[in-house]
Amino acid sequence: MSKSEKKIVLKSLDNEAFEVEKAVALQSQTIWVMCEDKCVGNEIPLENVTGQILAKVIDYCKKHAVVDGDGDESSEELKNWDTEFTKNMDQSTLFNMILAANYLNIKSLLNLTCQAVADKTKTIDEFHTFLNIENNFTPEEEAQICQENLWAFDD
Amino acid sequence: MIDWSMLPNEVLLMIAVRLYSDLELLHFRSTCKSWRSSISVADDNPLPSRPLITDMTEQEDAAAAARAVAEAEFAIAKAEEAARVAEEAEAEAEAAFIFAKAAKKALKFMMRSQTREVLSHTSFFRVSSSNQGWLIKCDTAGLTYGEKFDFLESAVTGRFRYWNGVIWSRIKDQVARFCDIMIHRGLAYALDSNGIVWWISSSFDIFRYGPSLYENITNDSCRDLTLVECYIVDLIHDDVGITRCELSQRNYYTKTVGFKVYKVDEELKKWVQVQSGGDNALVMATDTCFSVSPHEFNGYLPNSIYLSDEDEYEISMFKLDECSIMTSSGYSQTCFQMFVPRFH
Repeated sequence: MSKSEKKIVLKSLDNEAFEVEKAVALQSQTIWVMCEDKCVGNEIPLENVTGQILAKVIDYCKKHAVVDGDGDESSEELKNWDTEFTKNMDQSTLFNMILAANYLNIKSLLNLTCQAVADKTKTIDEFHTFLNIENNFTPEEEAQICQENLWAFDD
Repeated sequence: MIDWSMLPNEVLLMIAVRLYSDLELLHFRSTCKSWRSSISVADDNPLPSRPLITDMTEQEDAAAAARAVAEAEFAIAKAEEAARVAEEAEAEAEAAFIFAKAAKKALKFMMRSQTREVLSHTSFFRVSSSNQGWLIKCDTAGLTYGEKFDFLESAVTGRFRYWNGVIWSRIKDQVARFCDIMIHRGLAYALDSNGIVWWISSSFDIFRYGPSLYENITNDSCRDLTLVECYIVDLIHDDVGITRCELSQRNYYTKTVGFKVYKVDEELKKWVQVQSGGDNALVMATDTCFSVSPHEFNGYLPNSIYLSDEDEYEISMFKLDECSIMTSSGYSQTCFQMFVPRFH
């Protein structure tokens, strides 16, 4: 197998190029399909992902590819690594990671990031402040929500 | 600027599946329009079965919660058992059934509203009863239930709610944070965190009843808020001259037979029944109540309650430590010399 076949270049939205092992990149179902179709060369443009986020995604994929490959690290260690990975992520990074994982179709990363959102948000306030979402309900919807949430709202 | 409300529906669903409880799912749905429409809470919703309460990841927490639930179930079972046993005494059976119902309701509410920490540190219900209502308490929430009362106090919010037949509604005009509730002679009294006593009427209005613990009215002794529950029987002499206890609107006079004394524990913020009134003597007349120190007034016995029953020209003394009542006629005794003019 020639060197060019083992490596693959991922190009981000802002034209940052990342050369990675094929095994690493192929954890993305989206990239896997692209390679299967042979509709692209060795360079795959990812139009929805910025370089900053792509770098993080590749970090994740490398970590998980290594473990799959040589089995050196226990699943316990991998879990800890995952926890650390999402722990200090700010909300905008987390948001973009979810979108990237969704677009690239990396199941385990999507699971991980969704779990992180679920862990960080427990109350309505947390939803609103952490996620910076405006409450955009109409008064009618608001009233209905209050009704069904009577026991859940604690001022 | 990122906009979380723009997440694709399938991703929102993935997050929703990971929210642990019904409660968090409700919060999730209350965030904004797209989040709300991403998932329904209808019976056929696609989520796997979720626990009602939050995040039971830690095994010991789960065990603690399970224990609490088991205890509650035990209490309910016991009440139901009591109801069966008490079939002869219909009223009691009814009360026990009511209690069982209330306990279930309280449990359900707690399951839904309390967080994991609160629930797992709950030593469960304490139950007390009076003629007019049941009082079910646990460390974190209190519920009273009776013919007239159906309150629930949440220690988390310090607010009272009542059951209006459909939902738990908040009692209006609650300005204070409440710590305890008790039923006294058919009326519900609540204690707030400032030591103020409030009265909750049967139409669920709330009125301020007493002064604050920290308001100094006359002297220092007033800072001890004492609630005295006075046990009165109505005596009826029927044809054969047997005295029996019965409530009747005619042909009776009342007689005090005993007291229970509660003090506000300032640390626990709860009424605690005390066996001793301390050094002070408590004087109760029909329209006033105060405590005196025997050191200041010669002849008073400490740890006692002085009272005069209505329409009786005698003064009785209730000894708290012995739980006995002594009656003395006339005013010659030195201990009553302070009542000049007499309070009759």
